[in-house]
Amino acid sequence: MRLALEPAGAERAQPVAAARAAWAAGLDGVLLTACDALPAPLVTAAYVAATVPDLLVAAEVELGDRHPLEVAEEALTADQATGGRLVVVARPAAGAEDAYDEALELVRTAAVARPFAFAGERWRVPARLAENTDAHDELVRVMPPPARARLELWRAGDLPRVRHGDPAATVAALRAGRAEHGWEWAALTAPVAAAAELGARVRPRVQLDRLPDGLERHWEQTLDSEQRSER
Amino acid sequence: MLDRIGLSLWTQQSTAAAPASIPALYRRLGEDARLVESLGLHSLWLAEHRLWYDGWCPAPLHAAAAAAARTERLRFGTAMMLLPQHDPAALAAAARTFDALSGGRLELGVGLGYRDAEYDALGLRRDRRGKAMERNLGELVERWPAGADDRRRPWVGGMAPAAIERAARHGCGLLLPQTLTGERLAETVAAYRAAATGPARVGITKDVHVTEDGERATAFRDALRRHFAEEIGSWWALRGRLGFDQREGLERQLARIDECALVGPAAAVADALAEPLEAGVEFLLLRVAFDFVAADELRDQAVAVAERVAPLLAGERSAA
Repeated sequence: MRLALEPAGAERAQPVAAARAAWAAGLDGVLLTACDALPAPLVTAAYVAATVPDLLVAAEVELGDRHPLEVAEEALTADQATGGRLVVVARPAAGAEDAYDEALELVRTAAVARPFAFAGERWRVPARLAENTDAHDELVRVMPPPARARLELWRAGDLPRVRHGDPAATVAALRAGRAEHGWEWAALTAPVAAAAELGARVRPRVQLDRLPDGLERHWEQTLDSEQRSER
Repeated sequence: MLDRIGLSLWTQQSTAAAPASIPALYRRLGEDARLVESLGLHSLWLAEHRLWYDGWCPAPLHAAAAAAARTERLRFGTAMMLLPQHDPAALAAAARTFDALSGGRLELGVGLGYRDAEYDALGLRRDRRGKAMERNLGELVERWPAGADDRRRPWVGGMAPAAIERAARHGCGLLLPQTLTGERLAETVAAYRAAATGPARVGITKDVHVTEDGERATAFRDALRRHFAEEIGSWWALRGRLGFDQREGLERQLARIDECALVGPAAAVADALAEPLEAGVEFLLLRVAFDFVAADELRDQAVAVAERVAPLLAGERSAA
């Protein structure tokens, strides 16, 4: 299973610290959500990716209120700016839940590297308005293309969240999610200071279906007690 | 003087004339920004267009954010973001986020845009772009970070009376196009200064290539002409006819661009920049980056502007 660190509360305004801690702890990604100080997660993602190597940078993006074409362009540009390390996690914008499915479909259609037209209930692309007399295109092509083969565009359910408190409880929640729902990824909502513990104590325990009892005991008696004494 | 010179225009284009790896263009933006910063220049500027074959960047703040993370002091501008084509709340959120992450290093320039195809894709009427500009700029200025230095308010691009009036009324700076020269330049600056209530910053963009070599100068002018022939021919439409189908109008525009481009030795470029400075323009946005200017050549141009052109301007100023 792959794990992303999601900073919470005031730590959402320090995304670089969260990303560095996640990378140093061997986690797979960081999940960025909007906060008052940083209300545009795709801009934050582009900035953060430049401060850490390798890490996947997931950005939670609200859909349904503004034009999905604008969102698709921002996502593709941020994907290029991150060197293809962006994961867009879509969720319905407050008050725009009815338009969410159509918005997601439009972003998904627009993010593919070929000309397209889209005729939905809410949005039509191109609109073919009679007043735009010099617009003749029946199909439009969104640019830039994804940095890699495809843009990673996920629904919120593709990145289930687990609020981290105690490592044993987090391990149990992740194992249950994998067994019951086939989780491949999870975002751990945790203090940045807990990143090391997630990397050392949670991550190793959720990769295989089961570990020999002897190995867990070995970790407990050596590494875990060592970590505890370091605190 | 260096703190009054910005370099433009990073568009992230991979054209037929100058094919490039698009991921490499985005990677190089950060490298270029570090160089421009190390030269002590004020800022690096990006542009926005959408839905074009060459990958022209549609979201310059998102591209610039990665370069801002790699620099500490350099400011980042947009010339222009096409404000009527955006949700103003979303653009304000992006601007605020960029500003917070970069430590207040945003120079947001906004303009109208002119391609029907861009408006139509977004379900907007191009003939209503003036009204949309007015509404969106009002909202943008209202949402501008509280306590932000007045001198960091957005720039409005253009030279039409409506643009001047709008910039002045909203307390925004005025960023003039490269083709505004002579008496009209002086009159435009004066009209804006008379109407402005706020900090009243005036900038102008100029196409620049510094070279002592006559053959290189000619090659640059040829490439510049081919570049703008493609852009104007494909994008500028009048009464249903594209630029390519209006040969005379196209040629007139190309001649004007050629005439206004500053191509030659550093001293000649500096001499030509005296005109806007004497007219009261305080910020020079020198366009050295084009699709056809290769990466190493672009670095040479940045160095030439900072180390050979700028000192001449400073000398002129202190002598004056």
